[in-house]
Amino acid sequence: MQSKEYIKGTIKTIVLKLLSEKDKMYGYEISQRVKALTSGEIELTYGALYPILYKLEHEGLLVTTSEIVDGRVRKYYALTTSGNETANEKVAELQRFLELMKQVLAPNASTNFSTAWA
Amino acid sequence: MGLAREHVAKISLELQEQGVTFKSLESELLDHLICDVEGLMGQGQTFEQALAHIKQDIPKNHFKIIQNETMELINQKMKPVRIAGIFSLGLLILATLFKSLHLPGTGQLLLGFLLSACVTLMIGSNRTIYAYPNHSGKLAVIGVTTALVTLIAGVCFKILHLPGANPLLMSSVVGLGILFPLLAIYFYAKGPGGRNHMLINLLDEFQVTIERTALVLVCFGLVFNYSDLLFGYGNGIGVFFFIFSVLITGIYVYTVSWKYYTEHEEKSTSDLLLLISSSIAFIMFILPAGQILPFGIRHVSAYGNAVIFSLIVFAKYAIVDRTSGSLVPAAFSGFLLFYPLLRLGIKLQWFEGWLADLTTNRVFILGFLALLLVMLWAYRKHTLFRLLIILTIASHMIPTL
Repeated sequence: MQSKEYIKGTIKTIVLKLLSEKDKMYGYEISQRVKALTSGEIELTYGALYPILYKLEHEGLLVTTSEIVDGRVRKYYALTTSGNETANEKVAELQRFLELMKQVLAPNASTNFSTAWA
Repeated sequence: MGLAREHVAKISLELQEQGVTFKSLESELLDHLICDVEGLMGQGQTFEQALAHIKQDIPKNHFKIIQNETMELINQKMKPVRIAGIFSLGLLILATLFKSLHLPGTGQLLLGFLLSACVTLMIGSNRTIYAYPNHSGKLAVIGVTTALVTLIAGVCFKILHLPGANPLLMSSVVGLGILFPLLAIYFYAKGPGGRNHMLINLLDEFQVTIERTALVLVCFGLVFNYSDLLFGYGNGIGVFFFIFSVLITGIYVYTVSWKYYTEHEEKSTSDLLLLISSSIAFIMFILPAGQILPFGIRHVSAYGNAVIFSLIVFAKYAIVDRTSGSLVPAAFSGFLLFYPLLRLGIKLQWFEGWLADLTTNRVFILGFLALLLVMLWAYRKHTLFRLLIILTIASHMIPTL
């Protein structure tokens, strides 16, 4: 299980990215998709997922529709046009951030003893 | 294959016990939990094992925290509506206080309440349209707001003895009497397709607020009507609060059926019966406000709708949702069938002696109120039963209705 701190910081991007790949998804489907893609390493809790879904909906990035499945209400989320644009921006931002993190965390050539002498 | 009905009911009860009251979130969490349970049952666990497994991973008050976080986000957009609503209620209380103390300015305060309540409804309507740009129902929201604003204006004009009260009340009665049954037919015909309607979202969001407002109004009414028990003097001003409480609950109860239609895929005969009976009850409920019916018919209409509503609640718990937990709500709603009939009989002078004075007997009023409050507390999780009790409390407190 990965650190909650990192998940919290990236959950918005994760949700937007997953929704950009499908027409619509519901809460359980999103959590299962994340679990499957990360081989069970990342599990979105109820508390992490639903407030962010409502937040994104109220920011106008998501639109909801409800359907009856097995006699109960199922709420589906889909990206709006601005949601789609934000998804692209957020994914690009995160990728750039990850690249920078790789550079930060990689063994630094400039501090290498032999390079320093050279 | 889906979960058995009693298993779904058990999970639903778990959520309610954890304090989840926001309907939209509740149905979403219910769906998620059912999917989780079904997943574990697919791996060979029994329902009890699967539920215990899932509960074990959920920290205490987790759902309540989620609800608070979610509501905070929603409330940000609806904050002006809530502030305006509290301000309106404050003005109504002040107006009543001024009236009971015979201070000047009651009329102005009531007019202020009227304006403020109308502004609250209009802000609410505007915010709803703004908050759900992709949902259908803008015209319906505007129509409902207009009809309700006219009704509040009519009631306040009547209290203040201002000219134009009756035309206002009549227009609102006609408006509500046509619009609401049409909306009920619309939601009945649409079924689950109506879930994305703005009015359904509004009902989900404001269910708790509406019920609390109705109960708060009853509490203030009690304070004003029974202040003599505490302070040695009292007055009948509390009746205004009971009237508003009856109006709020009566109108709201009918809209609960709209939500019910959108939560069912297949229509049954009982759904059609509900549509017909609830629409008749609603028209009978709203008609007396028009002030044009003759005395006898007005009271048959006013008490008849309560009989129909009790019958609907009785049918729900005794026939449709027949479980061990619904036995008392079924029996008590069956008992409440007779109370409006008794009151109608008293009003039309069918009885003599102590029975004729029953509804003005303080021991009976307060004793029956205590019983209703106990039932409300004990069965607060049964939505329709809870609404029947709130409506009965509010109308019970108007002995001269």
